[in-house]
Amino acid sequence: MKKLLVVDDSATVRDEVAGFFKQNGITVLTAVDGKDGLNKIKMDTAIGLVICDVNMPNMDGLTMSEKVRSELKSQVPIIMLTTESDPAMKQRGKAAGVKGWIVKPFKGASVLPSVKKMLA
Amino acid sequence: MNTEDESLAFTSKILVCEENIDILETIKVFCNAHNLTTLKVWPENILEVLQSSIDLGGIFLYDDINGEKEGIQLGLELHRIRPELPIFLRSNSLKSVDELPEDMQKPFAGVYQLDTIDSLKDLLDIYIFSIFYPNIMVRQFHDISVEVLHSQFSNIKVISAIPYVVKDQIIYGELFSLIPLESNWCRGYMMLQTEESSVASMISLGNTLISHTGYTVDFRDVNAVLGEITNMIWGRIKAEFFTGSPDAIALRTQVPIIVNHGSHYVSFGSTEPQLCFRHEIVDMSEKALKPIVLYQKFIFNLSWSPEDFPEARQAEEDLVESGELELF
Repeated sequence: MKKLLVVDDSATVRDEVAGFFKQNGITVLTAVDGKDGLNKIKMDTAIGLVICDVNMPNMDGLTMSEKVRSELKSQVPIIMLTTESDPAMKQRGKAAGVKGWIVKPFKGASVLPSVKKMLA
Repeated sequence: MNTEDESLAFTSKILVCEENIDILETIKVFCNAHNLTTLKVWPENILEVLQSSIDLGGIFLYDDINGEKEGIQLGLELHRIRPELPIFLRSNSLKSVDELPEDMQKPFAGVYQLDTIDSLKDLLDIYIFSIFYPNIMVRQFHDISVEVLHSQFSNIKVISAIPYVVKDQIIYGELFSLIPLESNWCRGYMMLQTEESSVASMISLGNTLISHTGYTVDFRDVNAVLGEITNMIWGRIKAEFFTGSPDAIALRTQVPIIVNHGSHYVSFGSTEPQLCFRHEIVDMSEKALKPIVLYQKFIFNLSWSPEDFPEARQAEEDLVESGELELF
């Protein structure tokens, strides 16, 4: 199974999301913002899925997604986990190659089957 | 807060400095009739109370303290310490603030006599209740905030005071968060203030989403919890009520926010009354933790057009079920 990368500037969210997936047997890496996330995706080809916040300092999640596609030429699936639910924001996500969207708060059990499938 | 109450009214806390019980009772009746909560103080302890009260709307004072008009001097001292608070002066000899020497007029919002206390109503509307906050907005901001608190803490209950307006600019606790609120009907900030120790205790107890095992909780963990609460409330408000964006020209308007750490004071450049919620987050285990006190203030210092507030939340079908994965 490939690794999951959780990108969020909030330590609370990183702990919550990473903790949940680790308990469910998934190897999880974390990154503190889009810049850090982009670097980790570049360095580790075993990353098979990215769960990423939108609003972050240094580089936001949508910009990171755009750069993953345009600069790294990677097709790694990216799911946004965010408080944002604005349709225009989602549209931008789609255009950036984002695979899915979760509006916070995080409910691990409801996304676990999809995450496992994407990492298999 | 009773969310079923359609006649929800704001309150504001007032320090009342009076020694005569009968006079005090008359003032209290007036205040109760005008949604003011009174806190009785004496000339001897008003400065001390002022130092420890961080959520005031104004001060009622009288001039004839000790028969020597010491109330005027006390008013000047109070104004020096907390210039944002309006002082309403009871006087038997003065009919108007204009009768005071010019250099003594500034601290006093108005002068009244006990038998004409009702004339203060207009001054209260000017100085304390000058901002109109739609009831439905207040109720929904409250409900969103409480829902978020429940999502960030486990095994707790939240006790919220009746929402009130403050003119106070004193900071509570050791830390606060600020996040801009930007829409076509409001521009300003939401501020959350709390104490570090009570949040740290809640983290240590395992009542938050922070993984605390194997190390000592420190201020960064507390910051993270407050940051995520702020982010979650902001996100929910933005998603449900910010249906339009302010135009680009309006967005250029900014004013400096001044924080004075020594005086525990924050200024947003505006003295307009701020909408305030006080939440107590109480641990429901047997650990007898000190509750977290969270002051949540809304400061619409840049733009405020409540007539454009979207009264209904976005239609349910427009809202994504939170926590569910929506695949594209």
